[in-house]
Amino acid sequence: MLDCKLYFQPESLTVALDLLAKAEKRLLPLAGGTDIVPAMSKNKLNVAGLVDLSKIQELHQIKIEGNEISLGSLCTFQEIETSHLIRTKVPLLADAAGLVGSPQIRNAGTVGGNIANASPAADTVTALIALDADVRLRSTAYARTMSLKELLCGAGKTRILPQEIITEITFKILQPGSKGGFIKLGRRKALAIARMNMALIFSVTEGRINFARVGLGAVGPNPCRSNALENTLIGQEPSDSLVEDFVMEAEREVARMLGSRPSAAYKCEAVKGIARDILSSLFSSSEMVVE
Amino acid sequence: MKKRGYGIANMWYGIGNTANHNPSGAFVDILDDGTAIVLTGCADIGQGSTTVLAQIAAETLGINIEDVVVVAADTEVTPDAGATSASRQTYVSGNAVRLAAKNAREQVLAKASEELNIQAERLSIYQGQIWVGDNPSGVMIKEIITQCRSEGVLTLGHGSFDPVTTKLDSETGQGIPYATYAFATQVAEVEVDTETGIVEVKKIVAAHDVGKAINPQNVEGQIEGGCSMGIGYALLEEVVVKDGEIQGPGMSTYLIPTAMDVSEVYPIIIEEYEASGPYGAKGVGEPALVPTAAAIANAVADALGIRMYELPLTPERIIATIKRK
Repeated sequence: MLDCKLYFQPESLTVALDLLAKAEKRLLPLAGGTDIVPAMSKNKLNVAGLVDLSKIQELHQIKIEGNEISLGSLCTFQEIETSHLIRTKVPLLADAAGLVGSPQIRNAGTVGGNIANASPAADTVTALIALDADVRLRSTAYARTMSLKELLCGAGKTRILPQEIITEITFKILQPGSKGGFIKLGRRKALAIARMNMALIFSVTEGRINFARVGLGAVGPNPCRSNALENTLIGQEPSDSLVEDFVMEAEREVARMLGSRPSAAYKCEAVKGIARDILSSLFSSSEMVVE
Repeated sequence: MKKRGYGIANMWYGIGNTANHNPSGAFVDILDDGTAIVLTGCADIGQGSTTVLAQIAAETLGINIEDVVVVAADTEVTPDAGATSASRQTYVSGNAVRLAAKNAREQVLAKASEELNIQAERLSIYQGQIWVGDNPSGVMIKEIITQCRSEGVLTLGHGSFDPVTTKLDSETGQGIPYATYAFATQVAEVEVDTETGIVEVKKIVAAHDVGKAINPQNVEGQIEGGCSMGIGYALLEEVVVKDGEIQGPGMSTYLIPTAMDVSEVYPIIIEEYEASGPYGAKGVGEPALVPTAAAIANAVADALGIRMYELPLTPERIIATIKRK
C-alpha cells in the first residue's frame, strides 16, 4: 500500500525549493509519478514525503532562448510529442516522447522525471543524449548547469542533490535541413519498456555527412553517445553501402558495451536491425527534416 | 532483413464437457403484455450469450427481441446452466432456452387453437401475432395471454438440455466424448525481421464452422478476439516459474498483445447446420484461439525455412535459431 505521510503541492518554485532545503527528513520531488508511485506502492522507496511539482507553471514551458531550445522539466511526454516547436525543430525528440508507455503514461510522465529516474532504457533520455542536452538545476542557494551525460552516473543514479530540482533541459537548435530519427525495440508495439533504443541526428553538406550524433539506450547503465558510430558516418556520402558499414559498426559497438552480459548475444544481432531501419529510412525519406 | 511467410492450421474441437453430463436449464415466462422473461444460469462474461439467448427466445416465441428480458447468472433465481466454458453456452444453454420457449409457446398455441377453433399444428406466432399457415390471423399473442389469465392460467415454460455423450472406455479411450464438434482453418501472414527477431503478424484469415451464426457480428467479434489471444500465445505469453513462484504475476510483466500488436483479422463464417444445436448452432469461443498459434508458427517456418518447436516465438529464440542453422 502507498504510504505517504507528508505531501506538499506548492505553486511556486521558491516554495518548493524551500521545502526541500528545510526538510528534516528526505522529501522527494514528485513530477508525473509514473515511476515514484508504483515504487512507493511496492515499498521500494524510502522517503518521508513528496513535494508535488505539478502546479508550478514555470516548469511547464517549451520555448526558444537564443540558439537553444528549453524544455521545462515538468513537460509531459504528451506535451513534447504534440508540441509544434518540438515536432518541427527536433522531430526525433517528439518521436521518442510518443513511444513512451501508453497514452495514460504519456499524459502524466515528464521529461524531468525520465531523467531523474535514470533508467537505462529511458526513451527521451537517449534522444536528449544525442542532442547533447544540458540540465539546469536549482536549489534555494544557487543555480547550476550540468551536461545530461555527466548528470547520469549509473542505472537509477544521478548527481542531483536532495535539495535540488531539475528546472529545465536545454540543447542547441539543430541546423535546418539536418535529419533526426528515433527507433525503439520493445517486446511489443505499445506499453513496452525499450530493450534497446537509438537516436540519430546528421546533416549533409555538399553530398557528405558533416555532422552526426548517435545515442544508444539500454546497452549500458545509462543511454550514451557512440563516437564509433558517429565516426562511421562523418565524411561519408549517404548510400546503401554506408548503411551496411553503420550496421556492422553498431554490432561491434554493442558487443563492446555489453561484453559478456547474457543479453549480448541477442542485442548484438538486434541492433543491426534497428540501425538499418533508422538509417535507411532517414536516407530515403523526405520526412524527419529539421525546419 | 525482413522475410514474409504464410502458414495454415486446421482444428476440430469438441463442444461441451468431455465425456460428461453438463446440462443447462432455463425458464420462460410470457407476461400479460406479450413480452417474455428468460431465466438462465448462463453467465455472459463478455462473449454475448445474453444477446444470443434473447434472440433464440424471441425467434422461438415469435415475438420481437426488444420484448425479451434475460435474467442471467443469478444463482438466487436462475436455474443451473453450468459453466461458461467448453465453448458450450450457445449450444447447451441455447437449446435449454429454445426448449423452455417452445414449451411456453405450445401453451399459447393450444389456447389460440381453442379460441380460433383451428388445429394447433396449423398455427404459429410471428412478430407477436398468431398466424394460420401463411396468413396473419389478426389475433395478437397478447389477446391469447389475456384469455389465459382470465381463466387463471399462467404461460410458463421450462426446458433443459444435456449433450448426448458416453463415458470413455477405460482401456481403449473410445466412446463419444462430445455431441458435436466445431471446425476451423486459419491462415496467417507474417513478416520476420531476421536481425531483431521480431515477428509481425500482418493478416489472419479465419474460417470457422459455427453450425449457424445466431448473431454474425458477435461471431466475428469472437473470432477476432480469439485470434488476438492466439497472437499472444504465439509471440508473447509465457508462464515462467522459478522455485514455485510465477515470475510474471502482473500485466506489466506477463505481456499480452496491445491493440497496436494485433493484425488485421478476416473472419469467414461457415454455416454447416448442426441438427442437435439450437437453430443449427454450435460454439466458437475457444475454437477461435485454437489454430492461431500453429498458423503463425507455420508462417514463421515458411519465412525462415527453419522450424521452431517452442512457444512463444520470442525475438531471442528466433535469433538463436537462425544463428544455430
